[in-house]
Amino acid sequence: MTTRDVRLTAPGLYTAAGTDPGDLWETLVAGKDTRRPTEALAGPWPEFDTAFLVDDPDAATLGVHRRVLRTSEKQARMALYGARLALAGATERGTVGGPGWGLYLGLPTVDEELLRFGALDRLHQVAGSPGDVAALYGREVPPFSGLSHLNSTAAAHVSAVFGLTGAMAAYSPFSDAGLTALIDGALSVAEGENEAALVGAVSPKVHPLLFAQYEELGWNGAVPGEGAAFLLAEPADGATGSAAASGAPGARLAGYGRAFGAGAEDRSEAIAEAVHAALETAGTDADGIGWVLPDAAWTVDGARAQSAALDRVFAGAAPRPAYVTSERATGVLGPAHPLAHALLALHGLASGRRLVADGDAVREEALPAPRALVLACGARGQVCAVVLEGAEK
Amino acid sequence: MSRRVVVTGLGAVCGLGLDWQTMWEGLTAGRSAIRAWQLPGVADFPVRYAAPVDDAAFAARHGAEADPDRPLERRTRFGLAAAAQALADAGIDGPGAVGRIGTAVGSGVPERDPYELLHAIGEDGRPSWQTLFGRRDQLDRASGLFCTNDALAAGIAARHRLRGPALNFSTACAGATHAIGHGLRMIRRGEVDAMVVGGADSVLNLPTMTGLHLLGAPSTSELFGDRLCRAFDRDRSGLVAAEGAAMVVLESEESARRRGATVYAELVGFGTSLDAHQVTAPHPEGHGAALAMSRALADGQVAPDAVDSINAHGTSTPLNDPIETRAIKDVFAAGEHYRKLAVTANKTMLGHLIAAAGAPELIATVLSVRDGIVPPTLNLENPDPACDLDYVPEKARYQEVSVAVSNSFGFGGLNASLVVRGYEH
Repeated sequence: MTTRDVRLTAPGLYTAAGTDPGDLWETLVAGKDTRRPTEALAGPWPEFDTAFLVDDPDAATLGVHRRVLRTSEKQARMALYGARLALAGATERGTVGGPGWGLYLGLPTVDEELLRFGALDRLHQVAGSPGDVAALYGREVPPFSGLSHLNSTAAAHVSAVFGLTGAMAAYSPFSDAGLTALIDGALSVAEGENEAALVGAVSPKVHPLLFAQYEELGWNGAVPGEGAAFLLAEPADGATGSAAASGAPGARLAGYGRAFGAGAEDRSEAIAEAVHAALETAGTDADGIGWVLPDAAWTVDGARAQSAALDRVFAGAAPRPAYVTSERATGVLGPAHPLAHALLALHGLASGRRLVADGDAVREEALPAPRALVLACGARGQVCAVVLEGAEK
Repeated sequence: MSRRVVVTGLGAVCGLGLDWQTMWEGLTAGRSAIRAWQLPGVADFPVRYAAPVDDAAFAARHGAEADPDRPLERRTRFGLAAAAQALADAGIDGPGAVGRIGTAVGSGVPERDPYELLHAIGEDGRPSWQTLFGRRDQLDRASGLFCTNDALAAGIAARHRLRGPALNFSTACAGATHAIGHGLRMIRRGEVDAMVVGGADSVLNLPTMTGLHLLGAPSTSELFGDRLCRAFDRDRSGLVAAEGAAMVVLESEESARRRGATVYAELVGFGTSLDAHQVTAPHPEGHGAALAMSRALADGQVAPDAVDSINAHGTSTPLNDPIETRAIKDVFAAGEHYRKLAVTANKTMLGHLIAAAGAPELIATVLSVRDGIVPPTLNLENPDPACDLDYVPEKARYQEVSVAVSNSFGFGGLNASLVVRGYEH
């Protein structure tokens, strides 16, 4: 097993704030409202009728044949677009694909109706007739739903479009899945399993059924968003043809930690444990972190646990690192959220700047230490933390 | 840090048995769990055979472990029971028994209530999301909408107070094998000391089975009765769906030795790949499948000619079986070693547990190495000329198995293989 230094580069970001981490940065500083109305949410509940939506990429935007659209749905198409944005440079250099190229994805499940509203009348009529129910499903369910409703089909599409045949994994369904993809993708390169790994995550598409699910899990009312966040993990020594070799900005994954804690107290301890592990493997301590990008906690318990854990870890740090989340410009992005934060961190580490939440505003200032901590807290107590470090070290 | 990883606990819930011992006895005896079946509450569904878990027997045997007081999907109940069994089998009765323990499982498509959207129909007879919102408390809490994909991994960790990472893999039919392989890697690196790994799935519901049927994946033939799953046979016509779960406890060798645990076998290699071909069919030359096997062997530093047996993905679908055969012949081409391999397709007895499939098959691979028995490939009466390996037809074979490979190849070309070796200190 080799242990190479890994560089994270080639950001591909698709959110309501645009298609570039720089766009997101500017949107946050400008305080621009990027929400859009959505008809599906018009009504008494949930208590908003706008969300951070993105356009569903079409075949031309994705550079694929139209038949790809039949076996995918919006989440898979957002993933494909994010992958295309991240791989644009490498595609131009003609270096993408083959057995050295791996893929690591954080994916939500596909939560949408299988029978369209138009068929419900007929389902209602035949509900008491067992023989007719199966026939109705056979007639009305889209023929490729077995693929489009399978979230891992996104990985199959990305692999097929870009010719990636390296080592792979895909995780679901919440924010920890995105950061797990980053950790394992970077490790696959560090350990020599892949020459390069495309790492990405995608949000769920905003769909009315999600709100019932969120409510069950303790949703705090945070507004969801749609999008995808991708990057490349490559050896830091800059293999020929890589983004690292081309001098593109990047950062290294300096450390990581993962833990689990189910109850409120356990969850806070688990977050602190994961952060401590990330700091330790990065060879630094709380003082060495210049910027913290916590998860966009979308449950009251999760927010409280994360806040308590960060207070504990950084209690003695001088100065206390600045915190910010992209939530006000992207909404809550599920698995893509911590990766969007990782891309913001890469942007900041490259320019020596950071963003600071300041009441209702976000301002930028110099980054006091060249390391950022990114956190992901899953809905049921899963925790991941990574330390990203400026590549110049 | 690179540590040796051993298997110290097993647990299984499937149509062939509600514990791993019964499952293994059935596999070696050539018994099949596949039987005539119809979806509950539905008549005339075109798929007529499956390998379901017996609900009454499961409730009687595993009711307590399966958390009957909470609304949970079937797959989650099966998985909780299998995990409890595996931890007990490993002699781990609490978080203090071994250092840091994590969890990783493979899961597939959430189980959905086929009638849930009827709640959207208002008094005016028209459906709307607002009506559904108003009645959301009437939706089934045991459906996959609420019992999300991470419920099993988190449920195992919470119930057994495990503080290590709790991961959920979504790689279709390779999900459990990915989970097991990543457990191996995490122990090797020293991130954890032990992992509870495996998978659970149940596709035996109308929405998921309809999706599979429309893709042409399950067999609708009635020609062979319960001998329908015919991997590598010329009359194979599709997979036979199953449900259940299997979990294993992986542990660092030093941890297992320190506490005197029974070691079933050593897990030495894990490899994955992507086909980069089509979402609807595997690569016709089996490139992805061959890459996964080769990488698993390289990861375990095992020469191909050291392998004695392969637990094949063997789905009984027209495409998989000859392509997997070709991939095996590519990987084991040197000295035509493929002619010496005992290849077995457990799905002819277990059915296809979809995202969980790799877990019971890994258990069978481990026990094959421990006991020196290769389970049979049932119903292989007329081999397909394109499937020309030794598939151990009809009867189990007693032979020494020093090293064995277990394959799982998911929809869309997501492939994973594991390598198991007999344990020697």
